[in-house]
Amino acid sequence: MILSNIEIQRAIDEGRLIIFPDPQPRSSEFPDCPYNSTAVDLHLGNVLAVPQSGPYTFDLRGTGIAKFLSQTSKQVTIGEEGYALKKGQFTLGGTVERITLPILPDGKSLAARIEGKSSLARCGLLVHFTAPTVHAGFDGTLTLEMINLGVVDISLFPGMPIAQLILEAVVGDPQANPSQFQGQITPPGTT
Amino acid sequence: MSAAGTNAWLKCSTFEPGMLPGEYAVEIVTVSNGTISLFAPADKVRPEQHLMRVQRLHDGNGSGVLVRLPAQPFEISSQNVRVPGNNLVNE
Repeated sequence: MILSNIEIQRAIDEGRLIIFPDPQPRSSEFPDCPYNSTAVDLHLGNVLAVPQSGPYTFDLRGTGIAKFLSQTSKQVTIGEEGYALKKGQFTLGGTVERITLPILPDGKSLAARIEGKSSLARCGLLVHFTAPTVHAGFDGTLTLEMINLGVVDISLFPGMPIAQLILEAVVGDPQANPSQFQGQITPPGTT
Repeated sequence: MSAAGTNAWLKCSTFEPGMLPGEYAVEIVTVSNGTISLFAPADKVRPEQHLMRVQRLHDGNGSGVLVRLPAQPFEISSQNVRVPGNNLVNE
């Protein structure tokens, strides 16, 4: 069951969902309201991880994949002039917002999905092409898998609305892993 | 006394900046899966000491300690792995 904007705000107020910084303003009377009827906008952070081409092949049977990915990508800080994502180019980014979905008893847990924005999709921009689900117990910023499928470059700017988060009620109580975020209402690093 | 359910620090064999800010590319030695790698959130590591925070799940009898990693590793499909007990440092 997808939560309405009012229910998303209620979940934030009750600590069942933490979005930091808190999306504001809440009322659609304001033109920069990040809420639509059943979602809340997320914004692009200011750093991209741009994979570098080279004479190598990913061998997913091997080890040290995390290190290899880090060594074959370049961190780019997006300046005021923006970053031109070339047609066909793939890059990783992150959301400004940190999302926390506590595992709670009595059917109160939430899960979420990250989705693109139709306006950006019309330009050819995908912000994820797999793994859209944000599971109950998640705590962190969301990594964006961005690719420009359009026919011209797309300028990316820090803080631009880049995706939307759709919240869903979880039926039943998930069996929590001990390290998953449970029952707290303040994300680490914010107190 | 069992330490199951408590946090511990796991020594990492490799520790480098990740693809994005706020993460580190780490490699750890496991008991049965060789060396595996993952991107660890920055708030779950002590970079200068090459330590990553994990959750102890079960202390095995000579078969290592079952721990839960803070993120999904690339090489195996579970976040729960057995690691040598002497690679763990209690909080």
